[in-house]
Amino acid sequence: MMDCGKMENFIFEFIDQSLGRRDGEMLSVHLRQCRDCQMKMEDLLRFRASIKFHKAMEPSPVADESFTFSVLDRLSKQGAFAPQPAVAGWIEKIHSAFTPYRVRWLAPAFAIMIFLLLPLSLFEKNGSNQGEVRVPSVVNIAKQTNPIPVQPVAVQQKLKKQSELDEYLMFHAQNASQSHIGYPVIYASY
Amino acid sequence: MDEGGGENVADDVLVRLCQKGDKNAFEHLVMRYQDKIFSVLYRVVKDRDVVRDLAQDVFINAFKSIQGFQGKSSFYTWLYQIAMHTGFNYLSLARVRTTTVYENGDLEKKLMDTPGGSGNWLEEGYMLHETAQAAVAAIEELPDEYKKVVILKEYEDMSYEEIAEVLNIPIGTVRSRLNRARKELRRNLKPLV
Repeated sequence: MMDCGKMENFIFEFIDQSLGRRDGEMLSVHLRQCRDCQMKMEDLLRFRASIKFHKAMEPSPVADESFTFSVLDRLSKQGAFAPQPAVAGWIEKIHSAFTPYRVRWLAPAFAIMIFLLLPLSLFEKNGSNQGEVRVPSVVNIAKQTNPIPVQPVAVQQKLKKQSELDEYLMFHAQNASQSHIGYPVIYASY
Repeated sequence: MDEGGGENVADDVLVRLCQKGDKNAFEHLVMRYQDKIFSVLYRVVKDRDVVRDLAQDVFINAFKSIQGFQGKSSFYTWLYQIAMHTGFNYLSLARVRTTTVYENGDLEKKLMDTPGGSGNWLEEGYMLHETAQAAVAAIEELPDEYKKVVILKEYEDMSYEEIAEVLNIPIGTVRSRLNRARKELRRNLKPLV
């Protein structure tokens, strides 16, 4: 019978999948004859299976999304990284703002912004440029909702006169009610 | 971080950039290895609450000493080396006894109390669980130099060469320590298996 001590090393190598083909054949022959080595092999295989079971049942923790940021932040505070030029520094800030850890907050914020701006995304056609699609501004939409007519100069002057006339009529109406005199002729001409 | 930017860049390229103080290159390396470092630290200290802090220490120490990394080993095993040192240093300083279910001397008694196989799947599952707990407890009882090789081999699936690099010992020493550790484990687990 072959040496069990030597076979034990073969068993270890077999367990670690590093046993050569020829040595494997020797081990196989030995195991058929040696009950002790069979038990050694079974024990080690069972041990390995139990470790795999343990790994599956009790998985190790994994790094969360902020882990990398925390490491880099600590190193940055210690001045470990090479100083960057001003432009590169700004690019870096923008870049870091879009790390996966932060981008997840940007998505809902962007969605809310779209939702709020959706009613404003009406398109208008300019009368002088038929077919040209223009995006209206908030002021334009307000003008459309509450149009303020632009008055020609003559009408404005007339309105000014009308306000003076109204004051005049009000004055005479009050006097008339007090003196029982009728409205002046000027009212008829208006 | 740009998800696709550095995924295909080799470690040694990123390491050279890190040696010039490049922040983005180090970010890629952290992203690449953080889960592996969490894993090995957890197997060493068995305490989820401290793994994150220790992992941060590992990466910070790695960056600070990256100037001295000459590329004789892979960055991956070099980082593991720092992680193993950090983990075992924590254990020795804090005298943390990990989540072993069994205290010294109780292991054998616990193993003897384990119900035998009866063909019932529930009992078999329970027994498998007990065997795993016993195996973990037995690893905890090993001397540190044996425990290191067992963790790297059994939990991290490293080759002899990788373990030799991480622990900075010859491959022959890795083999002999692993074999002695297994003999001891088998002796401790004998009542169960």
